[in-house]
Amino acid sequence: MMNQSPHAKSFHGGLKLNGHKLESTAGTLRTAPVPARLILPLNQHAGRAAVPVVNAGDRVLGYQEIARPDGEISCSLHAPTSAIVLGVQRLPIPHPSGLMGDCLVLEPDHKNEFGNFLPALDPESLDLPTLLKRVSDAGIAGLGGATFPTATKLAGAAASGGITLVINGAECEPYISCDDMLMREQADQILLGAKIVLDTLGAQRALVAIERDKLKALDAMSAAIERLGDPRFQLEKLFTIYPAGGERQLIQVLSGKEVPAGKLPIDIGYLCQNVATLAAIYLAVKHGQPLVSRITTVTGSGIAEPGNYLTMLGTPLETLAESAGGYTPKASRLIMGGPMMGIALASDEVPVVKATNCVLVLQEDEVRASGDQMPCIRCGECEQICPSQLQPQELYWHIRGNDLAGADELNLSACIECGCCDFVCPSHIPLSQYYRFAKSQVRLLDARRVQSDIARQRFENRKERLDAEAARRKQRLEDKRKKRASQENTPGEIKGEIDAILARTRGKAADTDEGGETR
Amino acid sequence: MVAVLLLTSLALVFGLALGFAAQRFRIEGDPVVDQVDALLPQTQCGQCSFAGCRPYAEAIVDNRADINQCPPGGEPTIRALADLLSREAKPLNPENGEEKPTTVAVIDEDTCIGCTLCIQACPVDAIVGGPKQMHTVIASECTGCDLCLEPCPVDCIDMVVVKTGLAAWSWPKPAPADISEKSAD
Amino acid sequence: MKRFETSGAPYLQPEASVSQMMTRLLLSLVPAAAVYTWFFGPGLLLNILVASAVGLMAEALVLSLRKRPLKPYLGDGSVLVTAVLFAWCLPPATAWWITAIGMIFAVVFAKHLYGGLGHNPFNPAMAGYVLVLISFPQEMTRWLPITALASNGPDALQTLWVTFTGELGGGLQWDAVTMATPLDYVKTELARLTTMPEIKSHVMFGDFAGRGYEWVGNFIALGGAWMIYKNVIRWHIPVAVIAGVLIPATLAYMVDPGSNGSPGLHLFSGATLLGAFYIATDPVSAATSPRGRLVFGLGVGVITFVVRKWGGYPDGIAFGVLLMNAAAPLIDHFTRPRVYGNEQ
Repeated sequence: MMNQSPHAKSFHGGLKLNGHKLESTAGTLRTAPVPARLILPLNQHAGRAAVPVVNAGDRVLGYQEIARPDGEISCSLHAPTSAIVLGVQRLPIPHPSGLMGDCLVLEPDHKNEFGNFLPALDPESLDLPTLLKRVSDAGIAGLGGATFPTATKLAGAAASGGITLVINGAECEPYISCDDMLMREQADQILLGAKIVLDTLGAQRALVAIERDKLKALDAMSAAIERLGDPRFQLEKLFTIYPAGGERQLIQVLSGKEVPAGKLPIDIGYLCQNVATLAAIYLAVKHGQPLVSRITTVTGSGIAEPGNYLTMLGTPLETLAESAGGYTPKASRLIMGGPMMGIALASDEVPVVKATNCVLVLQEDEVRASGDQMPCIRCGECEQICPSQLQPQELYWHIRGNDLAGADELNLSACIECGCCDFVCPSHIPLSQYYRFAKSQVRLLDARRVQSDIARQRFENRKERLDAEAARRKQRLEDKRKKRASQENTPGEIKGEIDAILARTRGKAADTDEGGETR
Repeated sequence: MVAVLLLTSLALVFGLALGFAAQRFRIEGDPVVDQVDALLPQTQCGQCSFAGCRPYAEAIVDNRADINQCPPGGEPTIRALADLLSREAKPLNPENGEEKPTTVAVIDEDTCIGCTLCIQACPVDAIVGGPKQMHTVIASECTGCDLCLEPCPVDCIDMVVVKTGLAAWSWPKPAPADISEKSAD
Repeated sequence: MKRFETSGAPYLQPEASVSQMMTRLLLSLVPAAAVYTWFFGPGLLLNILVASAVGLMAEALVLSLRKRPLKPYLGDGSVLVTAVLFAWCLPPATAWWITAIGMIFAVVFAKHLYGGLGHNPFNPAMAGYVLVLISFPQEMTRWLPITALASNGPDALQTLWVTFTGELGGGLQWDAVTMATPLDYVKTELARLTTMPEIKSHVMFGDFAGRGYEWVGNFIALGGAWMIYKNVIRWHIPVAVIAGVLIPATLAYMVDPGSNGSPGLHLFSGATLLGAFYIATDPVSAATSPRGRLVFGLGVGVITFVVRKWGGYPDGIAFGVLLMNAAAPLIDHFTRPRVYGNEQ
């Protein structure tokens, strides 16, 4: 079922970038060695950090759960191999802040003993709740880079019927080739994983989206589709334009539809899954194997032997770089992810996490220099290539002047931070950094507003309560005084009469006043 | 003559239109106070010398107070107020205090004698406990206003800086924006 | 353990720079400048020389007064672009002080008083040109005929003399050596109720417009096409400006060919092509969105035609550009593209 001609590019803008993929796809898939220490950050997925369920000194087997998800949007962690738990430590994690994070540290015992913690399931007779539980138990998160817990995403998709599964094999960022490699080596796993999702969700069709220049991956996947013989699967060729692999852009290419602002792809009937995520689902269902490793591309001019490595989660990047021949003398930048959206890391102590699709090491003369910005000359090139069709230059002016509300009005939230605008800006303005700054500020301000609204409500409630109490006390005093007055007989009789007369005259006066007003 | 008539009728028409608009679009309450109040951090700490955020908001609108008297809000709040009221932003008034990291109150439960004085002082009801019972702070509701410190007879309350984890991290603003701004500083 | 430098994504080196854009723009004008010199003598080159020197000096002076670094701003080429475009608009033998006054106004008033590069609402070259056009009306009409027609015209040395003294040496008379531009000639003759065919029979006209001017126009269009190919400019403004001139010109010509210039005359005369490809496309003062640029360009073209047909000046590109500059923010506001996933 192969569409002969590729889909026309149908999203706005985008860039044709030098792919740099051959460096890492020349060789075959290699396996990274077991490191001396495995560092597993408790929060390596979108959502809340996982909660450790092992203690320092415990011996754990491979595949054993070592941290439980905390709440709906969270993910569990598993031991990649048999090891001794050294405990939870605050260590550098792959995060743009450079902050430390809580990590479970394991010391592998090199016996490579694996436990059978999750029984193998039969993909043919799988119902949805069982699948969701298994995906959650296996700690699977979106391996394309966003690492949103997959069980939560699938549960969201289950609610809406008649969906189309998009199998995302479009790896549009330069240098990265881990999905390409996976499709070449494990095409059947990907499709069987997709079939499980398709069957349990009752989805109608699956579109396998691959760029047309990934010839080997196209061959492997199209052969696998024929072997599978499922008419719901269809191979879709794409033009190689960055960012065609972005969820919203990919759906636009395949369907011509846009995901409305503030909505999810599933709201228009599309469920996007990265190829590696689907392969992980297959392994979890068929073999009871949780997510403990992934393919990571180690590449760039700063790496001696670039290639793709099957790597245990928790492997320090240092170890991974060593197994790829080490750094070249001029290596000066370490980037997790691609050169457009990746995050720069200050040291290679940090480990491979679920999101680590690529470790890119570059030389200084390949990286854009900072500090040579010129004023914006309004050339509009950023607008021409913005995949969200924003006006990047206008957003920049608002954010530079700290006008976050103004930026919000210009749909700042639609920015996917792809970095295209930076790349074409002749004035070398770090536009994406402005947008990331503004977006995180908006998020923080919103959180603060929620907090202060709660505080205001509590303050007002308290004031109301105190006022009510004061009024009640006054009333009680009044009542008591009256009661005492009526109980005291002798002077009270006269006083009571006076009071009554006073009250009556007051009442009359009030009456006339009111009458006067009505008249 | 025609001119006089024309002007008179114009005056009448516009007068009627204005009168109608005044009736039709009348707004109850004072929306400016609400808007100012919405920008204040609602710690209710009284450092501004008013008894809470709303009284301060009213004072700002009545020109009885300046916009730079709120230490918990700090510079962002001053800037937001300056924008809203079209006034000049100015640095925080040091007489009202200085910007500090967000804190929460923590009661040392061994020392607490259960006097309830702090409970009465808390402006947002974030301390629970009864007479002669140990008290405790609901950390998520505490605004860090320090008002409970003063009445405590045994000094068992500490203000602890809230750990700003990854959730409270923000990308920094790129600086300098361009060469011209760099040299202008 | 190894430590690394960090910075924000993306990390790829940007492919363009302001100075590269400006250099490409200047390069693309070289063939047209050569053709111009071939036909009209070295006056243009002298104008460019004077304007560039004065422009760079004025820029350096204001930058140092504003305490801005000199190197990046003098090196970005924006002053040179202003100087070349301004010089191109002047008659080929203009006294140096006129060029200098226009250029100083362009750099100091039109550019730096608004904040310098990237902040000027009006096209500096056009602001400078309109100033000298209004201030020196006589001098601004002293155009030279093509050298082939001027047996008694000033030679290179005499042009140099004119440029630096403002006086014609060697017993030459202004009336004898200058000739009206085709647009000027058409305007005056039409006012005298001469018909277009009669006007076109004048020796200065070639196939469509003035001899020499046609060839310069061709090379300007060629340079513009190369800029579009190289992404220095986008196609929207040039196409819209040309359409803005040609559509009303064609309509008028169809209605009354006797008293209206042909579309070819409009296209190849005056600054239509230079304006379309080089002046109206100044990104700083033009509209930015694609639709906005079409509106902007159409406006420039139509105003140009209106000035040519009914206005007091033979050409109207400068007025069209300046007026539409003023409207650019409004145009941008109303032509914002629909953002992904949003309703219009």
